[in-house]
Amino acid sequence: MSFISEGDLQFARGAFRSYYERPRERVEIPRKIESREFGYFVFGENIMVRHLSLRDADSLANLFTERVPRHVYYSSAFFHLPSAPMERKGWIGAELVFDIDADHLPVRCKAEHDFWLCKNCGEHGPKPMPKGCPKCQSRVEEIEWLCEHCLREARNELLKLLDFLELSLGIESKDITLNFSGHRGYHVHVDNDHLNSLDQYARKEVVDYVAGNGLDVSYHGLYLSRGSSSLIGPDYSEPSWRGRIARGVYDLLGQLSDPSYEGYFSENLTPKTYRRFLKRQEVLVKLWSSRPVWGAASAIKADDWIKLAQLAVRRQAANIDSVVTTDVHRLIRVINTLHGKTGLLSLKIGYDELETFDPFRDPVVFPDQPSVKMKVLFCPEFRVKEKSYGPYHNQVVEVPLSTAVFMVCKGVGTLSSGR
Amino acid sequence: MELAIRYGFVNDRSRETEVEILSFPLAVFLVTCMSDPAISKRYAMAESERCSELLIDEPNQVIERIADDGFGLELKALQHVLGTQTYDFCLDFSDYVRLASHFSSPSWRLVNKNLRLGQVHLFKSEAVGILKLHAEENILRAINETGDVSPPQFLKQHLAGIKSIITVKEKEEERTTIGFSLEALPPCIRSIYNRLVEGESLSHFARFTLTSFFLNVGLTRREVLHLFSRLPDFDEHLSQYQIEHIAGGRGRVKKYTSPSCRTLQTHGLCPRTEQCLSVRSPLKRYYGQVRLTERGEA
Repeated sequence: MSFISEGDLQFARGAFRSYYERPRERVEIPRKIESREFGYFVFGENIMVRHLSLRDADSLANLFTERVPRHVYYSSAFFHLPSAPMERKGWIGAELVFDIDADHLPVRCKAEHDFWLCKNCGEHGPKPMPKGCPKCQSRVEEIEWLCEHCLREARNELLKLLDFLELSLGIESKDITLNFSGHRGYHVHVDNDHLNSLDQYARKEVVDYVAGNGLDVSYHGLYLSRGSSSLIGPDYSEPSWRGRIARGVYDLLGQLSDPSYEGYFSENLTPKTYRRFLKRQEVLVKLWSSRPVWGAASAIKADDWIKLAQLAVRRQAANIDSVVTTDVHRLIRVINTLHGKTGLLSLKIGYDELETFDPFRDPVVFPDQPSVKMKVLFCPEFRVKEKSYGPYHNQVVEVPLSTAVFMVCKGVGTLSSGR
Repeated sequence: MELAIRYGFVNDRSRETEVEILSFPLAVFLVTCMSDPAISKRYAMAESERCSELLIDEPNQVIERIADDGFGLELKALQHVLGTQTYDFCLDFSDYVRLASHFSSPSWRLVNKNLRLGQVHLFKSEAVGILKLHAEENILRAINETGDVSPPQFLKQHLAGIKSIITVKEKEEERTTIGFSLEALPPCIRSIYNRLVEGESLSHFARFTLTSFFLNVGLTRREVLHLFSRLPDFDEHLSQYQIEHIAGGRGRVKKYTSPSCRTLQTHGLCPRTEQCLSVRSPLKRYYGQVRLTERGEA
């Protein structure tokens, strides 16, 4: 994604420079900084400068003040020689990192708010992207928009992940650091000396556990009993996936007749199975209200229950980016730094702040004043702090500085005169 | 050591403790002298197999102690009832995944384990399986760490003899299976084979039938292992062990023969076609069919 003009790039860089005037107070300094690899992008260049080694917090602070980077990353891994080529770095270990990105979530709104934009004439449209602007034949760019629904869904996934990490994997909250990515998701860092030494194969097992990949419900207490052929299943209070499966099925039973879930069930269950459950929904919800009654309603076959349990697994699983977690050399955004695509802070979030965290308010670091007059080519409606803006299309608006930085970084608005 | 390398098992005769203790580093030294990864693996697998055979009969508290003292593993002997199942041990998930990620069978995967506050609940056989793998890794590590060593003069000839037997055995196994005919497979074997190719899960007995049949008609252990890699719950380690056992390694000098038609009927693996009425064994039916094909009569 690029800025509309050189003036916009300089405007954003100036805003980032002002924020990074006191980096020691603002940026989260990674633990064992001397063992990390760093990488960054500067404004106007699309090549990452990487394999950097910084000996201390002052060196990192200098990077912000001297280079004014657009994005800054550090390795989740610890190396003997962080600045050496990859094969000679000498891997010591790596934080266990999880990335929840709205891009990977099956949200329907994505098709509605992601769009292509012609930065010459402001023509826009939903994906798929045309080869060139249908109006002026200029190059078009894809714009990924931030939406309240997507980020709410991402936070739900984060809560599910934390539940797995703490209750199932027994990871203590003191070893977990959470942060907003600054764009469309959340990052979770687990820094624990014992877990840091896990190799990629062991991490794959962890990924599969939280994502429910390869889960066989028969290993979690759901099976046909020998002899009587009655269905035996787990209880709500049981730990691990057992309880999640039982609770997940109960949630699904409650949603069967909800019109907003009709499409979901039609996509994921066969019409016959869906009908069999739907017809008996009221009775089933009542029966299941105090404890799971697996195999209730003789017209519903054991196979149907198993299918519903498998669907519950998918719903209860945490939707994470598996590549990030299994990559033991991953570079990830430094916490409490600005995201170059939004100007929002990759803000560290305390456990107690999670419920109230607002990604459209809390990571906004630029002041409202002075207000900035700018031309917006196109953007859907969005919110900064408590105020909503847009939708705009080829119009000149006067907005607070914080909103202007967001629109300029997103590449939908320009300060250039004469446009 | 020689038994382990030649036949895949370790003599379990009780010996003096001093002999037991001293013989292990000596065996590691001698295996290292042969500087052959296949021989090292064979020895480590045989020793770890013996280790698991001895452990399975020990009380849970003893296994816990051995896990801690011998492997530095905090395997806790703690009974835990979940639903209708009683688990005997628990192990921290991070220790579990380090080892269990080597197994590909669905039952070993973390996602199919019951976990609570970081502890994986295990049955006794699973706990012993984990220790077995640990033992094998430790033995291989000990061999690797011994470094570059030469045998004493008086043992050189003897070790070379063991090594040559293994090499000949491997060469024999590597030979191409001239004459193997897929078309000549009897209906029962063909049916199991088709299910295998489709990636369907097979019962233990179906696997045994297929393995013993293919080994008897001339496929190498490696070729059979390759066939089994199609299974959804393929566990290389386990399959290799089972194939070796059926092929006559692992403490058995003789190779298993393929089950008879009657045995297959008992296990529901015989489709009972008319062509089979006059035969008593799938092997006989196969060889008969091959002969007919060679004569152009099939």
